[in-house]
This record gives sequence, structure tokens and C-alpha cells, in this order.
Amino acid sequence: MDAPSCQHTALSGVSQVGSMKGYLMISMKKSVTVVLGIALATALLASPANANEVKNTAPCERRGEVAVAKGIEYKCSLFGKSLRWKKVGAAAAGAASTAGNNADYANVSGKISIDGSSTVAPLTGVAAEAFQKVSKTQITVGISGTGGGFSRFCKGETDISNASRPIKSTEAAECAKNGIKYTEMIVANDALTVVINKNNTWAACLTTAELKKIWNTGSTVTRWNQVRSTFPAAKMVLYGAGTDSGTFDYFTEAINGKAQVSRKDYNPTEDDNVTVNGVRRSAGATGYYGLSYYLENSDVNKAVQIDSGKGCVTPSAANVINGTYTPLGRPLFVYVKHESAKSNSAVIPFMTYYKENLAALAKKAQFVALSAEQQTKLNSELDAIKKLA
Amino acid sequence: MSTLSLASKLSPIRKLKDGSFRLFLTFSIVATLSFILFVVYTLWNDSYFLMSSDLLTKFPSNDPDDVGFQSAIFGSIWVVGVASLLSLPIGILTALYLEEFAGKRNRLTSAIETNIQNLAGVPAVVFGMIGLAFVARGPLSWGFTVGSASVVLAMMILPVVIIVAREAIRAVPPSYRDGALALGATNWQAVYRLILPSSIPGIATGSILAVSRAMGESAPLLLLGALSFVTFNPTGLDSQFTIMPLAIFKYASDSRDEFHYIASAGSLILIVILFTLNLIAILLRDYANRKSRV
Amino acid sequence: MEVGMYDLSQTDRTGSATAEGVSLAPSAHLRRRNLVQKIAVNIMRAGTVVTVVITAGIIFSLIPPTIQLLSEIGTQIFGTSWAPLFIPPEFGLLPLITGTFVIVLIAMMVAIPFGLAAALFLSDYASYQTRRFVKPILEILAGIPTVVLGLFGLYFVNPKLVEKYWPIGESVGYSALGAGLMTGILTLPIVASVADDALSSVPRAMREAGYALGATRREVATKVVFNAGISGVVAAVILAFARAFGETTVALMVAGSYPKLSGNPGDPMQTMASFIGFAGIGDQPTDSTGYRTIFLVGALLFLITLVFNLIGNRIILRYREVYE
Repeated sequence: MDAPSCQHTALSGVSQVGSMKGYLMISMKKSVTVVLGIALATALLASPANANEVKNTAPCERRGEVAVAKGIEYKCSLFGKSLRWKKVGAAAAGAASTAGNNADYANVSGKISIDGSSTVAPLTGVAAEAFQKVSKTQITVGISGTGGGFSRFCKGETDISNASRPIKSTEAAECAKNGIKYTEMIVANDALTVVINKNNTWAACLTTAELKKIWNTGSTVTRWNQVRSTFPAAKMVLYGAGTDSGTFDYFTEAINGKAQVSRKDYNPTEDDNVTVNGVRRSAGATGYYGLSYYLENSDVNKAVQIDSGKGCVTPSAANVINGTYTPLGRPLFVYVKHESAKSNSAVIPFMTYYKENLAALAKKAQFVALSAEQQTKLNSELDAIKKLA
Repeated sequence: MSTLSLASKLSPIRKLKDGSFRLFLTFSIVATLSFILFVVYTLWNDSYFLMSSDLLTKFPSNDPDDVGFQSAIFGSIWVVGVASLLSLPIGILTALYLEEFAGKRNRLTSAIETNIQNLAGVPAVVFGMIGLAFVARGPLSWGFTVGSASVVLAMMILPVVIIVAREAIRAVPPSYRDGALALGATNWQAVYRLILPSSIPGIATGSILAVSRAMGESAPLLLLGALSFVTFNPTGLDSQFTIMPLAIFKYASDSRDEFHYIASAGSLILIVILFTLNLIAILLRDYANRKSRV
Repeated sequence: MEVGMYDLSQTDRTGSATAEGVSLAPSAHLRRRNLVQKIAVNIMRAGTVVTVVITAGIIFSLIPPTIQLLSEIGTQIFGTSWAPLFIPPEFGLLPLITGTFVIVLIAMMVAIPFGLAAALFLSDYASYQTRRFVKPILEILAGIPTVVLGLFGLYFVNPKLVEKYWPIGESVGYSALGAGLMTGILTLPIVASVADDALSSVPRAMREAGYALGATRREVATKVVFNAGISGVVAAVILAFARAFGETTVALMVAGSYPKLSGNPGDPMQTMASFIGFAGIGDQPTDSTGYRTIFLVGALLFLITLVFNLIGNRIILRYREVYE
């Protein structure tokens, strides 16, 4: 009897629903699954034998394993496509576990919801990770972009908002309308870095006027020789931040003169990693993102020196602090909701931890630390919030 | 079977066509199998050195040495679990109704049936959008939590559960039903005491397959904030969360090479989880068929 | 099974026996049974209503923002530049449509030949044992999560195949070709399964008639069975088409997020579904233009897949009726 099975109906739009009549497939699938399962289980659970001799970049067996040899601490790390011993710096700051106050946080519990800029997220993320290790809190860090983060923040959905630009007046009005009071805090500095491919030898230094030529709305620049006639005629591929990104707002305002004014034909992304990868792939590609991403990926992207009238300046922590890296040096913000500070018992401890360990955290996440006066300002802002609780 | 006695009469062109056609068909099957093996090989090749129980016990991190999938696995379990709790009862009840109690030829019933068929074919993103409009925001405003995610996934797999349950119920021999009714049972009693228990293995099989589909879906929950950095397991319906497929997505998009290998490792773990679910479904089907053949 | 048709208790005239003799009223026991049945049936009806509610939810969530947006932007959707999240925004749908079209077309070029080949193999060439071996292969393929296919496309197909061997244009690490290939592999099991269903249910008599007249296996398969089951094959293609249309993750990971208007599959492109995914990652405030754009594209996507699914399912219903 060849009555057709109803498999098709279930399959329309469905990845897989097996035929109800098929006891045909049992043995085959059984064996495949069992084999695969056993292989994976043994791989996952079997403890590897003792690692090879502990020496920098010698191969090792178990990821994350820590060993000490001749007084130097090593950690088994992913190194390209293998596991090797890596020297852990003398500042075993590791998880920024600064001594002393951590015991205070052991009993802190609660949930903190953080969202916003994907530029600031690595810094707050490192803080959140470290804080969760010494306390009982649950912290999520989203990457909806500065704009997206603010919209959620002003609806009351999040406790803290990461931002790579200051809050706009329209957003502030929205917050006021919903009764959301907040404190703006600067937690790090950033140098918006313009990057080019490693094989791009000609555009090592660009003027702000040239950048505007490339990125302004209505720009028809598709080849490098349209930027400067001495450049080769290589095809230009553009990567940049998406429109929800504070990086986008800041870059367009600094370079094109007005926020969100930009050409539209580039590869946009909220995730700066995509820009890193994109620029890495083609010789004529260029993009922009925060300094921390550059420091993480300086082996695959090259930074452009920016000339805003006083010569070519390299993006670096020092140049941001001494003010020579303009107009792309910028502060990075964290906005804390007053209501959360009052009612969420985890928020103030978290912010305190953040502030106290900021130097170590910034170093770990490769952000530019605060200047002395910025640090003082941060301290007083935090004290003011503490008084709210 | 081929035309044995006339084989000698086949022109060489026909023979050639026959041969090449068969070759093409076999090649297709072999290519499909090789592709699957190749994908698994590539994944394994990119992550065998990473394999350790760490991957299951650690949490997401910016440090590739400290990364694991625990929160994603638990997030998936929570979300899919609650989604099943929602959709399985409703789906089975609906299937029972449509098979046993509804008028067969009336227009309302066939409209409902067409509706279910269509829902089964709606792209997964669209369910994410309803979730965004009505559940995460809008009237319910539950935010980006396990609760919202479960509702969205439940909506997505409900049509599949219904279709599959209907097949299972249909597979119960009509003699069962007739016998019960002849003995004076009400329709409901016949269903509840006889038909439902007999069709449970079939329903269970289909449900598990629907559930494994929910586990592998990434698109709808992308819209519900599951792509965030979550370093804890969910503790309730109001927890934020992340799921396995999206954790893989996140690491795959990271620019650092190390994270690609971690994404590959995660893919293997996900595949094994899904296959295990499948295996359970098949074993159940085995058991059901053996029982019904008694 | 009509309610009440065999249900003796509805027409029950047997009362309960009492000391006085037999009464004709339904006994308490029977009344309770009827009540239980009524309650149960109503609960089940409520379950059925849920499916209607879901559909209503889809429609009510998609329509209002779409209409609102359309009334604002009107004919801009016929433009050639898709930049809805910029200032000033541009709403030309053409790049999304061509992007979707290119990827789905490539997907069909992969899924249809190989899927039908698999189906023909299963229905006409495979022995029982071989079938036991091959069907699970297809199921395993169908079971691979889309993220994994996206990963494979991103780290193998794009860099090692498309970038190296695609002659036209310059590759940027994302390509519609890669996405199309992966989506094709994704939809192959659908084509294979639905077509196999249809082809297997062609009556043996037809095959035997073909063989009796001296046709070879290939000729019977391609000229008899295939033609007899053509409606099922068409349904398979249509359903696969609809599935490819709605695929988000693969397109997002492999084809990128740049809505390039181009005919070159080596270029990155954005499909309707992947735009929704992309926009959804970066949060859109409710009732902003961005939010409404997601729903506009979603409505379009939903409509197109609905039409395809309706047609496909209708064809299947009809061919099943013919054979049953």
C-alpha cells in the first residue's frame, strides 16, 4: 500500500521532521549518532596526559591551564590554531582581581541589565565578567548600539547604558518624559581609529579633508586616486559603523561636520569585528572603529595617521590624553539610572568595583585610561550616586 | 528491474544515457554524504585541540582562553523547555480535536487546517517580529527574557507539533475507536483512554523532532536580544539569556581567529545535542512500532 | 467522525435501573460523562483557537506599521538605494529584491537538480537496503543547524572557493554566491523529501507498464514516473523556494549586510530576511522609522512565502487526492 506519508507537510518550512512510517532509518542514524557522540564525549571529558615541557609557546594540552616554571607563570592559551603556553604578565591582573575589597562584594546579588555601544561593551564586559566572579550578581551586556541602548535605557529596560557619544537632546527628552533620571560618567577615552589593509602602503597619513571627501554624503569616491592623485587607482571598499552606533554618530560629526551625515554605500555593521575582518581581506579596504579594537587587531589592520592641520598624528593612548589626536579623540560614557542605583542593590557595588579597578580593567580591555582630572570627576559622580541609595 | 531479455537490443546511445543518468544520481547521493562528512571534518579539524570539558563548564568571555558554552546550553534548555511545555499540550489537544471531534467537511475546519499548514511554512524571522511587537514590547512588554523567547519559539513549533500529532493519531487503527464506541464509550472516553495512549509514542517522536528544530533556530531570537554577552545560567522566566546557535554566531563574527575555533567547537557540540535528540526520537519510534506490531 | 454519529450516549435511552423499574431519563453517570465530554471538547476547541490567534497576531503586528510607513514614503520603495537607517533615509526596495532573487536562484540551482536526483534515486533506483541508508543521510542534512552552514560558508566557501575562483569582481569576504550555495544545501532535503513522496506514490502499475513496453529504468523514471508525479515535483520546488526566501542566518553570515544592487553573485548582498536580522541586532526603538521598515520588509516576506506555500500545499493536496 503506497499511501504517501505526510512528511512533506511537516517539511514545508521545517528543517526536518521524519517520516512517520520510517523505521527504515533507525540503524543508520543510530550508529552515526552513537559514534559521533562517543567521539565527542571522549574528547570533551577525557583528561589529557601531562603537558609538554612548560616554556613560552611550547605546545600544551589543556586550554586555560596554568603552570609555573622557573618562577614565571604560564597559561595554556589558544595561539592561532593550536594551544601553547603563554607567559602571563607579572601583573597577574588577569581578571583584574585587585586585592583587598573583593571580600566586600561576596554577598552582593541581583541582576544588572546593560546595553548600548559595542565600542564600550568590551570594557564594561570585562568589568562585568570580573565582578560576577567575586559576587553573586548576574550581568548581561548587550550590543544594540549607542542609539539602541539609549532607546532601551529611556524606556527603563536597562540599568546602565554604554555610549560612545553623549546623549542627544532628543534622547534626553525621551528619558525625561519617562521619568528616567541618570548620571553621565566618563569611564575611558578612545581614539577613533581609521584603518587600512596591511598591504596599503600609500595611505599611511590622511588629512581630515581627505577623510571627508571619502565619507561625506553623496561622495562618489570609489578609487584611492580620487582621494589624492598620487595614490594608486586601487578600488576602495568601505566598512564602517551602522547607523545605531555611537561610533557612527561621532565619526560623521567629527569628519563630515554633522552627525549621521554620511555616504550610504558602504558595508555597515554594529559589530566592529566585521570591520576588522573586512579591512583585513582586501587591499583597498578602509574602515573605522575604536582604539581598543585596533590594539586587539593591530596584527591584521593598519592604523592611519590623522592630519588635522598640525601634522600626522598616530592614534594612541598618549596622543588622546595630550590632545594632539583630534578630531577623533573622544570620551566613552556609561549612563547609570538613578532608579536602579536606588532600588537595585547590585548597581552601586558594581559601579564602585568598576571605578576602583578601572585602570586595570582598561588595560586588560585595551582602552585608554582616564586622565587624573577625569578620574577625580568620576569619583565625585559616583559618590553623588551613592548618596541616592 | 531493467529489461533483461531485451538488453542486447538496447542501442549504445540508450545504454550510455542509462549509465550516465545512474551515475549522476549516485553522484548526487555520494556528494550529499561527502558534504556532510566534509563539514564535520572541517569543524573537527578546527577545534579538536580545544576539546575539553571546559567548553561545557565555562562561560562567555572576552578572553578566548576562558570561553565556554555553559550559559548558552542552559539558555537553550530553558527556552526550548518552556516552549515545549507551552506548545506540546496545545498542539496535541488541537490535533485531537481536528482528528476526532471536528466536522470533517465543513469550511471552518478546512480553513483552520489550511491556516496551520501555512503557519508551518512561515519564515522563522516573522515569529521573531511578532514576539518583538507583542511580547517583548507592546501589550505584554516582558522584555528580552526567557519568557518572551519561549512564547516565540512555542508559536513557531506549534504548527509542526499539530501536523505531526495528527499523523500519529491517524495512524491508530480505526478498529480501536470503533470497538470502544461499540462498547458504549463516549467519543471523549474513546480518545482519552484508548486513542491517545496508543498514539503517544508517535506523538512523542514527532514532538522531539519539533523540539530539536526549535533548538537549532537562530533567527527569531536574534530579534529578541539573545545575542548579548550573558555569563550566567537563566534562573527564571524573567532572566536574560543566550542560546547555543547565537553563541556560535557571536563567536563566528568575532574578528579574532581564536574565536572561530571556539565557534567550530560549539557547532560540534550543538550538532551532537541535536543528533542525540533525534536518536531518542528514533528509539521511541522503534519502540512504538514494535509495540503496535504485537 | 461526526460528533454524535456513533455516540450512543447522545441518543441514549437506557436509563438506570432502580427498584421501581427502569426509568427513561439518562442516569447521573451518563450525564456526567456527557458533561466531561463537553468540557473536554471545548478545551480542545480553545487550543485550536490558539492557531488562529497566532495568525491574527502575525497580521496585526505586520500590517499597521507597514501601512503607516507606506503612507509616509509611498513611491520611494521603487527606488534603487536601500538605506532606511541613515539620515536622510532611502527606501528603494530594489537592492533587497535583487539580493533575495540572486541568492534564491543560486539556491534553486543547487537544490533542484540534486534534490530531484536524490528523489528519483530513492523512488526508482534504490533497493530497500539502500533506501534505509540514504534516507537518513537526507535527514541528517536537514538537521544541520543554519548557523553551522553559515559558519561553513563564511570560513570555507567564501575565502577558499569564491575568493579564489570567482573571476568577476573583487571579493570582500562576503558573497551572494556562497550564501546561495549554502541555502541550496539547506533546501535540498525539502526538494528530495517532497518529490520522493510524490514519485513513490505513483502507482506501480504505471512503472510496470513502462517496463513491459521495453523501457529502461531511466526511461521509466524520467518519462513515466517523473511525469506522473510532476505535480508533486512542482510542489517540492515551490516549497523549497519559499524556504530559501525566508532564510535569515545563512544570508546574514555569508552574504553580508550591505544591500548592494548588483547582478554579480560574487558581491555581498542583503536579502529581505537578512535585513530583518541585521536590523534586529541593533535595537530599533518601537515606532521609529527603522522599526517600521523591519515590519514593511517582514510583511513583504510573509506575503511572498504565504503565496508560495499556499500554492505548493494546494498542489500536494490535489495530487494526494488523485492517488488515494
